[in-house]
Amino acid sequence: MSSAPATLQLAHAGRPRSFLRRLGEWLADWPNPIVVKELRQAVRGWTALVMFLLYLVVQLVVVGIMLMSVAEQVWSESPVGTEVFLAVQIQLAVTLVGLLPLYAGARLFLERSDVNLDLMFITPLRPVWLVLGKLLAAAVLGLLFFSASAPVMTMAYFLRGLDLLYAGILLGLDVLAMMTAVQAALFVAAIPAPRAVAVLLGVGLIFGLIFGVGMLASGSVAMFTAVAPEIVIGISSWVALTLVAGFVLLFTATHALLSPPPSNRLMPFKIMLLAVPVVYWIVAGALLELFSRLFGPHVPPVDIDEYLMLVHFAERTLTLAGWLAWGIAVSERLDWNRRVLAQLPRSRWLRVLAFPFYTGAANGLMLALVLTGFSWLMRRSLGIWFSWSGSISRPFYSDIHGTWSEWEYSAFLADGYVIAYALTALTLRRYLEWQRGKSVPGWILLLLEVGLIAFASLLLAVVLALLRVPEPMLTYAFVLTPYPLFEALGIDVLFRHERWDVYFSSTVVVLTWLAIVGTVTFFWFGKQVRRFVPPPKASSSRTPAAASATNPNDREPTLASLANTTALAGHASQGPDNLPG
Amino acid sequence: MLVEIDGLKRYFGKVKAVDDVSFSFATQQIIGLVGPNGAGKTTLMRILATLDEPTAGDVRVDGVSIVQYPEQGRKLIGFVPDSLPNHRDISVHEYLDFFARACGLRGQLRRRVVESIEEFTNLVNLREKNIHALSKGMKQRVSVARALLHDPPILVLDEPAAGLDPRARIELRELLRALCNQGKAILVSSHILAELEQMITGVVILEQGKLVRAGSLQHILQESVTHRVVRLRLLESMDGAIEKISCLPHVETVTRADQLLRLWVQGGDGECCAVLAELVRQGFPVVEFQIESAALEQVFLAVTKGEVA
Repeated sequence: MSSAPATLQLAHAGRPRSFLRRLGEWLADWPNPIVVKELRQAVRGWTALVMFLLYLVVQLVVVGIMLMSVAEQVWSESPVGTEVFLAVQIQLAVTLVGLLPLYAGARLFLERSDVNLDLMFITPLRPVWLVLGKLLAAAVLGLLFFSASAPVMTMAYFLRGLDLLYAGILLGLDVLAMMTAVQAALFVAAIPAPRAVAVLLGVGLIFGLIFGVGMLASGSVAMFTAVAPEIVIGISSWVALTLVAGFVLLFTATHALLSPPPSNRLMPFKIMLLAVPVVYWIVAGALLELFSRLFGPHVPPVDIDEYLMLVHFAERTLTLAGWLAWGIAVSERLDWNRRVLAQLPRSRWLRVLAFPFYTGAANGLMLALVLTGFSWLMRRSLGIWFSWSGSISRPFYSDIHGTWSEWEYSAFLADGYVIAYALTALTLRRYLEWQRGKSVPGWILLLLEVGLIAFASLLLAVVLALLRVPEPMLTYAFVLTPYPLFEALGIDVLFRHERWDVYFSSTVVVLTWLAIVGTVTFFWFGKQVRRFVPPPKASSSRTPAAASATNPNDREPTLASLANTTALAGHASQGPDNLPG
Repeated sequence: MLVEIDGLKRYFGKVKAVDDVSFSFATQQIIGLVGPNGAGKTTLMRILATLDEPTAGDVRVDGVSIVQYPEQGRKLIGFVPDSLPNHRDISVHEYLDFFARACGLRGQLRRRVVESIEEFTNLVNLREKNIHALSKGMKQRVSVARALLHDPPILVLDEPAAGLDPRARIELRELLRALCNQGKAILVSSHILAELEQMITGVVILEQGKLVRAGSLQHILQESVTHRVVRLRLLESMDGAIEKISCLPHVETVTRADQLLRLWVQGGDGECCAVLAELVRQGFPVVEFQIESAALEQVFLAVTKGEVA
């Protein structure tokens, strides 16, 4: 650095450039910086290279062995294209849904680790670009594997017997499964957890990916052995829809984890948590209508069981989203920081709408309420929709259209549990924070609540066992959880009217529980709602926009500013009290 | 541009890594952040770099809280960590090019800026080398180059001289001075106090997470160091001079080295002035009377106890 120039000139006036030159520059600049970096590192590193070479070798060996085993059939012009295609497909499933997500997730995890934190996380690069960049880089690598398989797939077509429609559907599902699996791996890698927890999460991810590979591989085989194309189209549609929904939720969740904590970073995730099940259900309903018109009302894709399953699924998805909101309510801070408050809408009505989507425990609770409310509304509107549409013949239609079905009742009770759990967690939190004088991490609260409920249930089970109650009565030991409800309902969609006793006991427990924790939390919740107002416009705290308008030269850099600082130290306790979330 | 650290606290469980620290610095200042190991220097710098969040308190740049708006802080602050993340598969030029892209630089401008920075930090000959293969000093240059890419008005350097050879240290010092002259506000931490002393305009001393002293070196010296060392040369040697001078008010000790006498004077500049007046009054032929400037090391030892948080 001894030969360093005295001044550093960062901006230069360049010569006028031609259109082609500017176009070239634009093309070079267009890709996301993360994609450029990831691909450069993939080219220079050995992991991606070894993975790719291994893939080629395995493909060569597997296809070679396969061709030798079916050589006789090939010569006799029997169709063996499907077998060859499936061999490549299974290999693709292992690579794209198993190895590639692990590679992408491991890279992000290492970049996020405390000991070797990559400075890209403190660049002005927006979190959405970070997630997109990682995803696109994985997609480009995935494309490489697809292109490596293309010659063999083409050969499979020429070996006859391969249904192009099925192959196309399968390759489309491959892409969706790959993107969702990569996104799941990025989500797990972005979770800020202690090393031991991170290892557990990693193990969980590996099991999840193995499950995904198994599902895709077995599904691929099943697809080609299915008789009716409408079955293939129907199932593929649900799978694709589920993958897209999962991808969107995971993407927004990862984005939230990579965003600065003081920002209202959960807002996109909260919106998606509400929007995804609703959109999923609407699209699924529209597809059912379409299939009923295309294939007729009684063929498998629009079979009445599947239709009922969809209703059931929509309810359960929203209830699950409600449980996620329980997690959000527990994890969020009790109060809002200055940044979040400054962003609140000034209109009271807009604030009412915005309330569930802002950070804060009260807002998380509100989201849980909204989601559970939607699960009921969805069922009602489904009934209205299909009562209006006459395209599907539905013998059980009356049940959906009825005023109070067993399903609806169970969904209502499950929602009650969600709210009771969320309110209990908040009560616990407020008590612990009051006791300890400092905040309690959300995951500790979750574990504590689950632990307390599990302990109470076990205790009750022991007491019931000592009282020698009949075996079916032991279910009541778990009445603090929604377990008896699900047990009564069963995993299928059969109705069990004989278990009204379970519904009754659950109702009593949930309503009592809600009354107690609702009373305890009521005033706190009201206070939080009243505090959910933006600060007055003439605030002393400056916004970034105001700062950029300030001429830096207005402040003379003198040592006086430093010398006076010891005076600041004396007033430290008067510092900002609203801390980042 | 004014950086204000206001009541900053960072607790890890019961450990108070940074405990109620407040100070500020501004453009064209190089502020040294010193303290024993575990004093909270790195934690403070990580908060400034938006890598960590404070438990309480705020950091403001021209009145804008970078704790609340870290995205804004990232545009204004260039951070040089104590060690560069271990990249095995990326070259120096690719690394800088990535960060230039991440900072929003496009096209010709990006290329020119990266080249200019490489030239400025003397990395031209290393641009195709893999970062993993670089020496500590070279990596530090890359780190400084990376921090300069978006031309931030504030630079935060955590132990930039650690592990550098003497030549690299001198080069780094010159580089920081050049950047300071260009109008940057610089906060630099180091354990090499003699090195730091030659470039800083002010110092902040931390111990056990608390701010012990902050201000200009001279200011702290006057506050903290309770004696002065004075170099005294007389026109001719006088019999019993040492004994006589030792008896003067405020003079603690007198030693001799050839023609020079070194006086340890209890008190500050005022007491030194009184000693000089007394010497002249008593007829000592004084030809040189110079107060030796106290070193940062002296200040550091005077104000810290060597305890960690």
